[in-house]
Amino acid sequence: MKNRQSAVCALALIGCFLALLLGASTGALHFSPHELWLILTGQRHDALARAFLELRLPRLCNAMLVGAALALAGALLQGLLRNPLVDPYLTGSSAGTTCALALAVAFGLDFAWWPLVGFFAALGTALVTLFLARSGQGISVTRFLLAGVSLSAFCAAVVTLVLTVAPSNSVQLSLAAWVGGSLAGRGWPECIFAARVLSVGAVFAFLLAPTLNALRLGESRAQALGIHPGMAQWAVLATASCLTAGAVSLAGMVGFVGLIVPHLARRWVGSDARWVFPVSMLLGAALVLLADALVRGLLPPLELPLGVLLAFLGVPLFLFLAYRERSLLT
Amino acid sequence: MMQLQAAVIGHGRQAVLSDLTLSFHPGEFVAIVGANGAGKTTLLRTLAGFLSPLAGEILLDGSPLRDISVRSRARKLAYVEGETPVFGSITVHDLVAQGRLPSRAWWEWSLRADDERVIEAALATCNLQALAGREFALLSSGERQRVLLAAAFAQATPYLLLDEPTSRLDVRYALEVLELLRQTADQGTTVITSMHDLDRAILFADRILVVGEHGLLVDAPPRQALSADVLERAYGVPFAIRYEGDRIWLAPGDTR
Repeated sequence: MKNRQSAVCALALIGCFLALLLGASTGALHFSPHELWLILTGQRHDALARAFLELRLPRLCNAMLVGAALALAGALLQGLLRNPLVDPYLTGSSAGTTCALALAVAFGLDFAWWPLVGFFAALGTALVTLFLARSGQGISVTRFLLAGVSLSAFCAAVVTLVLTVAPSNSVQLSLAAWVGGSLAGRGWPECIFAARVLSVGAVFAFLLAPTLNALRLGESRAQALGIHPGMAQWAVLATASCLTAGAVSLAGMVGFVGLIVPHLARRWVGSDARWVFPVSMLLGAALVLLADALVRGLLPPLELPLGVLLAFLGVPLFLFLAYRERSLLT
Repeated sequence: MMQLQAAVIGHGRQAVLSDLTLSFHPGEFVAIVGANGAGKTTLLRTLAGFLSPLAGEILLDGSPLRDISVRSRARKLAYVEGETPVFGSITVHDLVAQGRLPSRAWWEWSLRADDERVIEAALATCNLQALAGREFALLSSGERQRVLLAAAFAQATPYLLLDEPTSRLDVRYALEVLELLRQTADQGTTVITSMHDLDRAILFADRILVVGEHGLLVDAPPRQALSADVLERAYGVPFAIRYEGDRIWLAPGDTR
C-alpha cells in the first residue's frame, strides 16, 4: 500500500509540474519551454520576460495556492464529517464573501480592498456557522449543515437585493466576475498573503492528520483512542474555514475543487489523511492550473470565468464518479 | 482498581441507573447482563468516560475519572463498541495500528518498532494475520468484530470495556473471543463486558451484574447472580434454572 501511495504522490507531483508548464506557456502571450528556461535562469530581461515574471508567474502561483487550499479544506471537512459530498463552501464562506463584496460595491469601496474584505467576510461567516452549529462541547454535524445552507441562502438573498437596486451596470459586472471566479490581475502581494494562509492552514491540517484518521471509525472510537471530539471538530473546522477564506478572497467562487479532488485522492491513496492531504493539495493545484490555462487559452483574448470552467469540467466528472460508485449516493 | 461511589448514570438529565456503588479489580472478568434498554451500554460508556455521571463519583486507580485527560484515559481504558461504520478504505493492519495512537506523541507519525511488535501480537492473538492486508469494510461482521478487538488489544490497557463483543459472532468465534477475554483477565487486565448470552456469562465471568428497569438488581458471582427471581425481574419473563455439575441450564419463557 505504501508503494502505491508513494507512486500516486509522485504522479500527482509530475501532473502538477506539467500543469504548471502548460499554464506558463498558454495565454494571450505564448512562451515556449526554451523561452521559459531563459527567463527563469535570468538570461532574458526584455518586456516579454517582465510580463512573465510580473503577470504570468504570480498568477500561476496564485492558481496553485487556491487549488491546494480548497482541496485541503475539502479533505479536512470530508474527513471530519465522514461524508464525501461535503464541499468547503458548506461553511457559508463563499456566500458570505459575495454578500460582503456586494455591500462593499454598493457603498463604493475600492477594488484594492476586496481581497481583505473577502477574507474576513469568509472567515466571519464560517465562524457564525460554527457558532450556530455548536452543541455541548462539540459541533453538531446536522446543525452545521443547516446553519451553512441557511446562511448561504440569506447571503444570496442580500446579493440579489443589491444587484436589483444596484446604481449601475458596472456593479453588476464586478460582482458577476467575482461570483464566476477569476485569477486575472492577482499579483505578488495577493500571492504572499495566500501563501501565508495556506502555510498556516497546511501546518495545522498535517498536525490534525492522526485525529482525522481516528475519526474514520466514528466519534466513540476516536474518543476511545484519546481524541477529544469537541476540540478536534473546532480545530478542523477553523483550519478549513481559514483555508477556504484565503482561497475565496483571492479568486472568488471557485467551485468543485474542494469536492472532487479529495474524493479522487481517497480513491487512489486510501483514507489515511497523511497521504490524502499532500495528494489533494497537489491535485488541487494541478486542476486549478489546468483550468486557468484553459480559461486563458480557449478563446483568447477573452477570459472565461474560472468557476464556470471548473463547473463544466467538474460536474460531469463528479456525476460519472458518483454513479459509478453507487455507495456514494446512498 | 475502578470504583463507582453512589454514582447515578444516564443521558442528559434522565437517570438510567441510580446509586451504583461498585468496584472492578485487576484481573476480574465482569459481565453486565439485562434487558434491552436497561442501561448496559450507558454504564459502559460512563465507565469509558464518554458520559459523565449525573451524580456520585467514578475513580480510576484512585483518581476521579473526570479529572483524567482524554488521552491519559485512552492509555488506561480500551473501549470496543458494536457496529462501527468506517469512512473510506482502511486495511485491517492500519486499523489495529490505530490502537497505538494514545501511546504515541503528537509528532510521531510513524509506528515505532515496538509498536509493530504489539500490533503483530494483537493480530496473532485474534487470529487475523491472514487478513492483515485486507480491506476492513469488506470483511464479514464477525471478522470486523475481531479486528476491533485486536485494535483494543493493541492499545494494551489495564482495563478493557466491551459492548456486546460476541453479538455478531457464530458459536465457534464467540467461544474463541470469550476464551481470549478470559485469558486476558487471567493475565491481569480488568475485563468489563455487556452480553446477552447468559449461559456464556456463567461460563466465563467472575462476576455478573444484572441490571433491570429499576437499577442494579444484583452484583455477585455467576451462580448467585443468576437466580430465577432476579432473571424474571430483569427480563420480565419466568426462567427455569437447572444445575448440572459446573454447568447451569437456563430456560426462559413459560416454565410449566
